[in-house]
Amino acid sequence: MEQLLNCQNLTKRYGYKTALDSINLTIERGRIIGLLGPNGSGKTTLIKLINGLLTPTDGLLLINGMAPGPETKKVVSYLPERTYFNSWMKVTDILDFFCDFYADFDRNRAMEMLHRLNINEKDRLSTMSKGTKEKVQLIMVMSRDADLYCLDEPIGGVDPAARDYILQTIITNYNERATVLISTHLISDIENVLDDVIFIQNGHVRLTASVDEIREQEGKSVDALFREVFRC
Amino acid sequence: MLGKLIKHEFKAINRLMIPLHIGLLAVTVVGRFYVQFVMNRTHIDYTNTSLRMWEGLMDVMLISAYVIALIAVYIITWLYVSVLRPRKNLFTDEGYLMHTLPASTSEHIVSKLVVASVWRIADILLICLSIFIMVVNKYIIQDFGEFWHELWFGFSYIFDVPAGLGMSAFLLIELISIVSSLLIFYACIAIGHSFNSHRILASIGVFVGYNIINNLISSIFTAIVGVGSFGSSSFYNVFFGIGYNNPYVNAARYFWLNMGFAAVFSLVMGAAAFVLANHFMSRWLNLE
Amino acid sequence: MAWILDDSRPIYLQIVDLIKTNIIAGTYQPGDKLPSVRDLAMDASVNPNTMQKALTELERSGLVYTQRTSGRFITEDTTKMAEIKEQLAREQIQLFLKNMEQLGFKKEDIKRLLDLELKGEK
Repeated sequence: MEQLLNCQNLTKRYGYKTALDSINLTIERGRIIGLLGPNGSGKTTLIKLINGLLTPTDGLLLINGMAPGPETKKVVSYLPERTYFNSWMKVTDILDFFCDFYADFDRNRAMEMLHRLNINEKDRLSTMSKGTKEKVQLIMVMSRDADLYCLDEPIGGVDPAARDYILQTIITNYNERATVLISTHLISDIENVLDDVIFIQNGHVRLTASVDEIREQEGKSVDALFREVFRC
Repeated sequence: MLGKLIKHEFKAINRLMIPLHIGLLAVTVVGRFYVQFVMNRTHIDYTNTSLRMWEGLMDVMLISAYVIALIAVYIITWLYVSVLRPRKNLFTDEGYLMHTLPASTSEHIVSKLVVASVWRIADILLICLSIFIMVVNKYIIQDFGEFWHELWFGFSYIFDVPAGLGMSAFLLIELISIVSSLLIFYACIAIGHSFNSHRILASIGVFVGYNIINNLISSIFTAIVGVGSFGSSSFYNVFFGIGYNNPYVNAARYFWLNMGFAAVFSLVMGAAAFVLANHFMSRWLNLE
Repeated sequence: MAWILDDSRPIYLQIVDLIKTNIIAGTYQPGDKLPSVRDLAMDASVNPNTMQKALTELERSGLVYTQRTSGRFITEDTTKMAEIKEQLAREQIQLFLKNMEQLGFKKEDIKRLLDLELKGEK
């Protein structure tokens, strides 16, 4: 299969603190991958590096063979843990914004998803609950035809119904040319939708495996294995 | 991509700038009516000193309020376009959206710079317009031609250059200093926000540091020129063309020498600030 | 249909078993068209790749066949179905016997108890 993401000795230090220590990793197309690790293990750092929000201290990170930059940002769709829209914006303003900047943005797909959630395009973000804002953001991110979707903690702090909606959205928009990278520490919630998992701890990759492999070889769920590997 | 960034930057900045300047013009129009009213107060009873005192107090207060409004509009515009907007849009949560757009860092800087410059210039022009509306009367309009004529010839006499050239040079230098000062703010913010904590404090620290260096260089320059002007050394006569007997010509030469230095200095500083802002925003970006 | 998945075994194998049971039990009739991979995946809240893998497995067992243009169908081969039904039943019996052995019952005892239970039901 074709390589989508390739990290070679990827290292990121903040001052004296090492967030990622010489990571080697390849990610292929057509997978849904869980990036799993305890808080502060380096998940967000890796995702920020992929999105060019940080620059590696050392090593190499390539997306489709290119270092992060305007070209890779065209094919990477990123959902940060933050709500990044201005509260004065209406939903239509956000749609316009994404249409203008991303050639792969599918406005109709976004509108369909918004209608299904009964979100009015004329609504201002400032009138929405935090959960609704997060859903709008997810819809925007998933309405792009990107090669790589990076979802940073998409299910942290949402109610079970919202969590199900998020997982449904990910499954519905899945296509075999694209890979979805989901970072989380709530594994049991998303285990059933994952192809592969990457365990990350203290800036090191502890394990990369497919969910089926883990269940076949270990006879236990990824969640149970995670608890074992990361026992305090 | 640059065009789209500029379009959306205008969309965001106009939200504050347009109401602010409409407000300014509204205050101006109201003020103008008041001025008209004061002008026509001649029929009032001059023996009533108490009333006149209250009227005088009222006039002073309203004029002060107008002046404060002008200063406020100027400062809000300056602060918003050169510090608050770029900081919020590029270095807080919104930065997560902006920096993952398929645009280069220099495109981000240039788009912010273009929109901020346009609004700073528009702000200055609108403030001038406001003052003009406030003071204009039929005599000023009648005498405007003569005023312009005098300004034109006075300018070339005082500044020792053709008025057209001198005025254009003057405007160009102003433009350079506006653009350069914006870039310097961007660089200070970008450097300050590469720190892990106390980012605002760090940005201010960088700005203070820059000003110390700036003042140092300026004083060195002034000192050199100042020494030259008092000495009779032919060195300065040759290099700066100073030393004629006509004091006007000397003053004009000093003026242009200083302006020229200021222009070159802010051009160099602006270019350096652009490079620094670009470097720190792409290599040392550190969003919370 | 309820997709109850446990933690210990690969998800695709559990889906295979669930669909098999449903076919045997008659929830899916012979010749019925199966929903698309994406719809099934949505329904079960699993990854489309996993669902694909499960259906491929079912095709291999012969319970499901693919018509190139129109999708996947439940087999109309009733002998095949009976065969698999019997196979599933035998698996259950083997499991039962294993459990009884663990409890310490001999074959004769098991038979006696089973007869007793079956008579009681009547």
